[in-house]
Amino acid sequence: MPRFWRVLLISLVIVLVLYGIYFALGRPVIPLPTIPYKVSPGQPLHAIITSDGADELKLTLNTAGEIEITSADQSVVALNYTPETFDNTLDLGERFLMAQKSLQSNEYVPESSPFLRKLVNWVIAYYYHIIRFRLSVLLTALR
Amino acid sequence: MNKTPTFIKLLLAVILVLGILMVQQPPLATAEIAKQEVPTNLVHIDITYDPGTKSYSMGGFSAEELRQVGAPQFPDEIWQVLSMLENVTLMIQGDMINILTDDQQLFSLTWDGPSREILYSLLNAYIELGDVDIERAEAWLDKADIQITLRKSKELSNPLQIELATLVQVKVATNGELSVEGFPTGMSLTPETVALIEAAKVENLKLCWNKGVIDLQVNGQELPQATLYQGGLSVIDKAFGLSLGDLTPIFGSSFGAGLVIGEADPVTGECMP
Repeated sequence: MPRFWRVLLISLVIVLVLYGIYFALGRPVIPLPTIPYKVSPGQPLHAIITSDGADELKLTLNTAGEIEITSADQSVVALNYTPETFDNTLDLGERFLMAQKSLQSNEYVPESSPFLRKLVNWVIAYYYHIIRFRLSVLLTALR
Repeated sequence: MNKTPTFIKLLLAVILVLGILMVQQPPLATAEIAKQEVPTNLVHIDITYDPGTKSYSMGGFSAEELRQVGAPQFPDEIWQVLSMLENVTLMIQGDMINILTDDQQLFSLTWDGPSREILYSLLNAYIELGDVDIERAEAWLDKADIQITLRKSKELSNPLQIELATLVQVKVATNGELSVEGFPTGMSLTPETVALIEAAKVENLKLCWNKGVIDLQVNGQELPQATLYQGGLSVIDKAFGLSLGDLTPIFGSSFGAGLVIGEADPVTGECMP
């Protein structure tokens, strides 16, 4: 067997083994580093972040289907989604945007590209079913 | 045999073992057999009153909180009657209405279908809100578990308990007028909002609130489930200065509404988990 094909085959097998282990472990959510973001006084978010004295608000996206906002370890609101409910939300949001534009301009507003919608759905479904990540943004209020 | 094929064989063996493990892995979610409970429209309201100060607390809300939302004050005649009683309880459960005063049975009435029909005809004759939709009234009363308790006490009343299996039917007419269960509310949506909803082709909504968990369907399509946390809501309250007060009774309740826009069919189903 040529060296190239051998390396390719071994790489593929390694990827499969690693994913097999990940799957056997129940597809745990892989945490990514938290992204810090400073919010200056005067910005609209500043009042919300400082309202409970913690001066911090954390937005967490868990691609296994959860978006959560926490303030000083206290959950404020959580959204649980599936690829289907996410698609329904996009569909509704798009319909409202189109309706608003058509009412304002009295012109026909074309729908978004079906390919783009499918691509978004595939990305959401991929990170929901295949590999799951947890991404957090920590908003800190500046004094 | 050289090294590489042995390595590949080993990897294939690992994949085979993992594959067997995955096949033998129990399903992640096991469907639970739901308890076969009959859904009810449970409304338990506790009212405590103090004839001395002529104040009352209802459903866990203090007299001050009730005054802020414009709750009515009772005339002296009612306070005189109330001062003579220790407690009064009204119970409507299934086909029975019971009234108890000072823990003694005062009144009991069988409240079946034919007797309710007499009441509907009386309401139609004397109330100018429009005819009672008997089908809707039966949907509510057939599953009723209503208890209203009045107690002479200076204590804060117990939190309101609401668990409604029947959806509250809300209708938005083409001119924006809002009606609840067929009765006009006197409120209406602006023409711009109605035009936006119509242009977005939204025909109906089903909203379910279950102790902080919100499920929403638009045109029968499910949207992501939202969970509001009572403690966390205080952050929003403070940030926007909403003065929401104590929301414990709301966070202990379950109810739902079906909203229809224009001439679309009513929303069916229930909200109970």
